Amino acid sequence: MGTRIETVATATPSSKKIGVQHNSTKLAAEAAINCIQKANLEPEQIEILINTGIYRTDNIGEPAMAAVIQDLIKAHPFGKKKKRLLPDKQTFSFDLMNGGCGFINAIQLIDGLMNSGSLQKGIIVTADVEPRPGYSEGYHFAPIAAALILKPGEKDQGFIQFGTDTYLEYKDCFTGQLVFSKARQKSLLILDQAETYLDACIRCSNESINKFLETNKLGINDIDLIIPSQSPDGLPEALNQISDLKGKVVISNTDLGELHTAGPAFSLEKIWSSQQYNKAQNILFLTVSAGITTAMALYRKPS
Amino acid sequence: MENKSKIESIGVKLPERCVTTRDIISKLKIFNPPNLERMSGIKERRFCAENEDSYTLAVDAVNDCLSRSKYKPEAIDMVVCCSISRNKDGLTTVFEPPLSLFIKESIGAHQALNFDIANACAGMLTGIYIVDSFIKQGIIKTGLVVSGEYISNLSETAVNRIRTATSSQLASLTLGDAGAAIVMEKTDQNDSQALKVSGFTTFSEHNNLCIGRQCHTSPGGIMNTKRRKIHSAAILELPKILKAALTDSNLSFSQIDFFIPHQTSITSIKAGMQQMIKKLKGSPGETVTNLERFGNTASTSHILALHRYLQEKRIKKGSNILMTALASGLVIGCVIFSIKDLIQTYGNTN
Repeated sequence: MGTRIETVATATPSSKKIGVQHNSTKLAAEAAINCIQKANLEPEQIEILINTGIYRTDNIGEPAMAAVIQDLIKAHPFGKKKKRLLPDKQTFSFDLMNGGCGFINAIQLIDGLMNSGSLQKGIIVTADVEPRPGYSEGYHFAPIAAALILKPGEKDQGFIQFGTDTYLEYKDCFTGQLVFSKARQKSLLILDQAETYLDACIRCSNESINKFLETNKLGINDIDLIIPSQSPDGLPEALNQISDLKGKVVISNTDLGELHTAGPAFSLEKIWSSQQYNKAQNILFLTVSAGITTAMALYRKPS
Repeated sequence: MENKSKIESIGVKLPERCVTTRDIISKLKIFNPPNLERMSGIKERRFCAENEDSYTLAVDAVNDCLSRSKYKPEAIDMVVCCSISRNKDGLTTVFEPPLSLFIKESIGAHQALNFDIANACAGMLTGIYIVDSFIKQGIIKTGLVVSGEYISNLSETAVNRIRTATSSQLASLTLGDAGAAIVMEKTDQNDSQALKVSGFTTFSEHNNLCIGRQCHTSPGGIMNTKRRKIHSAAILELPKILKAALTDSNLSFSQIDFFIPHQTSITSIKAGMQQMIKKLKGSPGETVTNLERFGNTASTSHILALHRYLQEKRIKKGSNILMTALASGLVIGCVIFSIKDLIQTYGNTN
């Protein structure tokens, strides 16, 4: 049994002005509500909510951002009739953080829970915003949220294979850290990206794709579409230049900045109704993040 | 045969620096300070030295854990870091790469699948929930759940900011630093040590009762807690979850030999237990408290308490253990298991 994507949705802030404080939980909740409505579900039917966003308003560490999102979308244990649901019908939520790869890690976790029969409906939400404008250096990610609802699917359909790789030799190429500056007497979020990071991501992605295909006894011709991370800037375009991958890679751009953890879901929503997606059968999700870590998921689109 | 998971080994790290509740209270700038020692049952707790942080505590806890494990680091398939605090190189908070990546690099589990999770003080039990699922599915055979909590800086922030005995930062004074780690491994459904992980629920309508974040204009973190409200919410929600988890495990509350709640304060645990005993019509053999010498160590508190009881050889073979998460969110969840091989790793052959 493979887990299928029921719906995907995104949310962007009403203000596009630079330097505006956006609310990460409200943005994520908006994407989640859009997604739940598209799926014709009620919020309390969601059994698990995993947030994979990294950068959040005010750098809140506790509670999990997922709990706040759950509250905002009203996935409360009361249900519509205000009658408390049984414990096994209630929602569990937490944050999972692994840069852009958290998205696939969360899908793999939900897929496992669905395969064991302990889960019927799960949602992954993600949003990144500049935590406090004026208190960061090098922050360049778009304030965009995305959500994805997953449901159990048929055998040999939906998500059928997962893979991850780590390339520790590149662990210093991209870092995101909150540092207290004694000189400025404030906590600063510092994103530091080496010039070599993009090249390293391209190299690692290519190597991981080949390894993944070999492990699963597939050829690149078996893959119809590749939905990659949209960061670092230029990655999807560069992957699309690799001869074997040419024409298969989905490239998404926004005027709000570089897409971070929402990149793959944002791209999926963009192509959801397109001919390219309709025709595709085997879709490879490829995420790349600091570490360098790559994560892949093969999605066989349900017929 | 259906896959199950069990705890193979555990390890902890406690900083050496010991700070008493009296030391902390003496630094408060208020006229009539509360009797925190009596209220919380905490006499002392450990604070990190200058060269210690979440990362070093986590790595040291993993090394302690692996010293009792049959597994070498390279045999670990997955590393899940569950700390609320994710400090490395002092008070620098690490977002990317995640702390779990640095941990797996340090211990030599280079190709393990890794990620961080955050679920407040329910972090390590949520980590168990996740690794249990991956093992049951046959995706991995072994998984490491780890946390390093460098949270004494929240206490130091509170000391400077508390102005009244009813301050919302009072709970920060109960915090202590610690690291904890467990190795989980695959077993089968006939193994009595197999984990029963159930009842994990977020009562998100209570999400605003305890909020922790980084300070904007000083190093370290700050935490504000509505103590009474969170306690009331927990008392309201916990019995139903416990009852369902016990029913799932075919056990009654009285058949639990060691009940390990999240370690907050002795008065909260005692008041909570009175309600549990009343509502579940029975009482466990022993309610484990580990506050006196270590305080509230956030996500590591259950494993730290279990480790102490194992080290002191207080747990007998075949004992039923119930660990209950109770965390900001409001998160509740249960992990139930019978203990056997684990006591031998502590030299207890009883």
